[in-house]
Amino acid sequence: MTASTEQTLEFGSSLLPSRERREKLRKVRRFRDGFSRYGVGTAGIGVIIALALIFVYLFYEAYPLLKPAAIQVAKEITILADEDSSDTVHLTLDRFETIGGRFSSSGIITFFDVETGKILARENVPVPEGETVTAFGRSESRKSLFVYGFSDGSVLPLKIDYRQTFPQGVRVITPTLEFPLGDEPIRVGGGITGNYSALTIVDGRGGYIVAAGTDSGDIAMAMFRARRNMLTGSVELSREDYDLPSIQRPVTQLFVNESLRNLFAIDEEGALFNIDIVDPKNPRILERVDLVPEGVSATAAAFLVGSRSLIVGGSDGSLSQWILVRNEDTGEANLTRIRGFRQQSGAITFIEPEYSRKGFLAGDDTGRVSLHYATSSVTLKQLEATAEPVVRIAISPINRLALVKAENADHLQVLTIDNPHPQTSLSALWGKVWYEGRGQPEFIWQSSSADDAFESKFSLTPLTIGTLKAALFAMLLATPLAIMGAIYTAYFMAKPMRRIVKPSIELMEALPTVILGFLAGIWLAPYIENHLPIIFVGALLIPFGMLVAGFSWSRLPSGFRGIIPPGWEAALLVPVVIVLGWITVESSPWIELAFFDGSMRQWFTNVGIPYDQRNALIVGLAMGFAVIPTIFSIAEDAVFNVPRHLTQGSLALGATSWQTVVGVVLPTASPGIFSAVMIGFGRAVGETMIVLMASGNSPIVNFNLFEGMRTLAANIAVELPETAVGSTHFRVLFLSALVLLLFTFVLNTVAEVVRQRLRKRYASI
Amino acid sequence: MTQFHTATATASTPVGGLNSGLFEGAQREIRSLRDETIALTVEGLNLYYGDTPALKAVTMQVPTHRVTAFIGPSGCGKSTLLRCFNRMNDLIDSCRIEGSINLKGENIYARDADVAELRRRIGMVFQKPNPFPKSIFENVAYGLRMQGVKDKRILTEAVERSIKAVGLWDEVKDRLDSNAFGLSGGQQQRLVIARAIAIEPEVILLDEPTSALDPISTAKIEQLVEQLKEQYTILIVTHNMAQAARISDYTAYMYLGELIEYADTMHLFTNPSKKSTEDYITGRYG
Repeated sequence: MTASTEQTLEFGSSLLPSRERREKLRKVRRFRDGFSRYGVGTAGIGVIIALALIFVYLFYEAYPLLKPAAIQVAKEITILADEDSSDTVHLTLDRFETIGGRFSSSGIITFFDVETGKILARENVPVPEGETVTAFGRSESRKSLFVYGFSDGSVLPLKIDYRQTFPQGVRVITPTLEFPLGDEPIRVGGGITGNYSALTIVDGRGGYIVAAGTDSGDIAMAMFRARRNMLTGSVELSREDYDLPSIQRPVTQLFVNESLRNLFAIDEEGALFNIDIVDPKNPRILERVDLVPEGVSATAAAFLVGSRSLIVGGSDGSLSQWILVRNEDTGEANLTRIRGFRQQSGAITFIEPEYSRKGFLAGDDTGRVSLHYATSSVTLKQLEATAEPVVRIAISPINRLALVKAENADHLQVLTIDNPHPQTSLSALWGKVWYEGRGQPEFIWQSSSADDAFESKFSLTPLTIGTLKAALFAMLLATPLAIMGAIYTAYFMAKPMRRIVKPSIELMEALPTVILGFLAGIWLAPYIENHLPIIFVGALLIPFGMLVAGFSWSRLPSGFRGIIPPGWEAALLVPVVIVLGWITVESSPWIELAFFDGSMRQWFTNVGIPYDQRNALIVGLAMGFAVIPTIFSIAEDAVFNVPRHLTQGSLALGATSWQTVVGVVLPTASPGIFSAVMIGFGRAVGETMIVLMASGNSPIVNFNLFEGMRTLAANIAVELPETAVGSTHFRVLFLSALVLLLFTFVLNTVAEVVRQRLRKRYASI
Repeated sequence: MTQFHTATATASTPVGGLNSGLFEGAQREIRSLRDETIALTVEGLNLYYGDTPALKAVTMQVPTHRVTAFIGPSGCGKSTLLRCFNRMNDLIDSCRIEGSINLKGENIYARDADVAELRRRIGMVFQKPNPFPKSIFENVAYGLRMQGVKDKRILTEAVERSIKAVGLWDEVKDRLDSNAFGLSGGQQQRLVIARAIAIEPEVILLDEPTSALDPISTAKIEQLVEQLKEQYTILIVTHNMAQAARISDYTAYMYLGELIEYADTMHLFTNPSKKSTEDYITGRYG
């Protein structure tokens, strides 16, 4: 400001800064250009890398599902200084995979160190004086119950328990022999004579059963019912004996399921007799089932964990799974073959089920051991363990180690198994699977249960269908409303009104979806259930009423219409919609009374339309509401940005406004409208909170408007917090997240490709 | 305000005055509106954008089958006036119009006037070529389709006739189905003219049709205008005074929303009666 600092400029001299300063500025500018170019580039690439990393991470977590199982012979061990040279009737392994147990035909149980083969303990089964062991039977592996049969016709049930103690802080496991049903050998049944050829024991619902069969086909069982004394806490056992119908041929294998309802007796030729023992006083043979084809015998069989399905191995190397399926007509449960497994090269000699899931090991007489899984019906791995026939197999309760005894071998083979996720296969994840206890193959998602022997049902199909269903109904509501609204707002509406309407609708997007979901689930769902006619009357009356109102307005004398400035006509519809909405709501009870005997909801049930309170309709309304602003906003911009000269060109050719919209505006805006719809769809697919709260989360497979669904996103939200890290369930959830991401990724990519092609075609100058 | 000149003069005996070079070799007489059939009559036309007047009491007559040019500095209202003829100003919310325009005796601003039909009768071509993002064929057929023509033979016939009329046929006949954006600017502008004449208008409004084109394309358009006036009444707004002199029969000079002078083109350029006109045409304006 001060005059003294003012420079006098010579006429003709350059006003530019000096050469040095310009040089310096040039450098600064070059630096800034470079910085911004590389900075923006880095940020852009960073976004892509971040997206790629999400993919990589999800894949990394889901990848173990795809890893094939591995099984190999780790070593061979010999039980050192084993004086017992009699045959092995059974092998076991403890939970810590350190102690093996060998049950011999002379009644000696030898426990040994799996690492070294050193004998740790030896237990003698009290064989009655002067008698020999003639039969052996066992319960499901996880119950650790066994039964020895002696030559005098008596049997002795026993149990192996692994006691843990921690002397000096070191874990010591002591295998102990227990006699849960008394340490005296017992005779089973009343009048059976002769040696037992098959024995079994089961610890089932409400008690124990020890069953025995003979070469002549006689079957008897002893039922022990446990009753706990409420005062002392001691358990009293009461025993009843029953003779069952004879099957008139040698019994080779016996099974009783945990529900204590059925006894399966299998003969040499593979015929199974299903005996109903619900009322043990009046047992009856329900059916005879041929487990294997003519000329083949059933050489091995075992219950999978939970004793709901029976795995049968044939002399031809075939393996099949059988469950009881209820016949809808007769009301009886018939043993039905639900799947076969890959045939092995020799006759199946032994089947060892896993303790906690539906897998099993099968050995054959060519020395092969193979690992199968029932639910996914896959043969995970086959291993040539020995050259001799496999006699016995033991698997550890945690499925990571197995012992194999081959015929005539004086050593045991120790197999290591790496098989963490056998439940999933392409067909188990996406196809129909026949699960235990179901009547036919189905798509089911049921990841967990309180039952230990639960068969996990990991079908992603119901979740994917649910996702599509929710998105479809939301789009059905949102797309027409949003696009029509966008066209009207962008093209016909008066500018001042547009300035109010557009931000208002966009503000809807800011509404937290948890609030929408909350309102939909807690208020709307019960309200609609009690006022169902609102939906039907509203869907007809409101659009129709608006059309009538619009038509009447256009018929009014033009002087009267002049009251409303052009472009403000839509405001007139607001009271119309309010009145129509009021009529809809008020008429609902009257309509229910007049046509639906007072309750449309009840009427639905009566005519056989299933209705859930939280259903696709509610989700469609709530999520449609959430998606409308997304579609509206993008579509409105697209329509609004159609170049003025195109619309004017059309109008100048004598086209009406409507003709211009259809002929020029919509084609030109179509890339934008298309991407609006696709982005809306992507949002509907990925939306979580609304479906979580308003869909009922039942993973069903149908497109019924009045039933719910469970979507991929909601499923992840519900189940991820309560799954064990690293479990199959955990990884399947990551897989479903990957599917969801791929879904939206593919959707957006397709949308972008189509949009680019449309844009090329309708490129505007 | 408006001056109707009655003076007669020929270019061979030039009036001597201004800009006579523009008309060298031109063999015609000075025309008078009195001898013309009148297509459009503008009476007392006032136009306001909000409260700002943009046209002030414009009164003029436009002769049939003649080219009438509107010249004047930017913002003088010549384009606004042009857009009044087919009511394109209706699209501007704040625009208010007083007065009347009669097309063959009918007031186009009458309350019951059909704007779409008016725009069919009075076609318009804009400053920038504005073909639709459609094929060449569909661009030309658009207006007819909007009139409800569905017969493919009629459309084909009309498209061919219109494209031939603008001299574009040989250039595009093999690619009628390709996108109109593939054409050059000049071709696009001729296509847009073909599109306008396909619906058989009576009047064609040209709003600076060559300002975005190169000289060769400009020459073609000018030649085309020369031919089209045989069948259509043409109104053209131009910034290029030489162009107005070359192609128009009558010229209106506008300034600040007023019609200053309106006369035979040769007369207006050589013997303007107003000081303002003279300043403008001799380049002394602003």
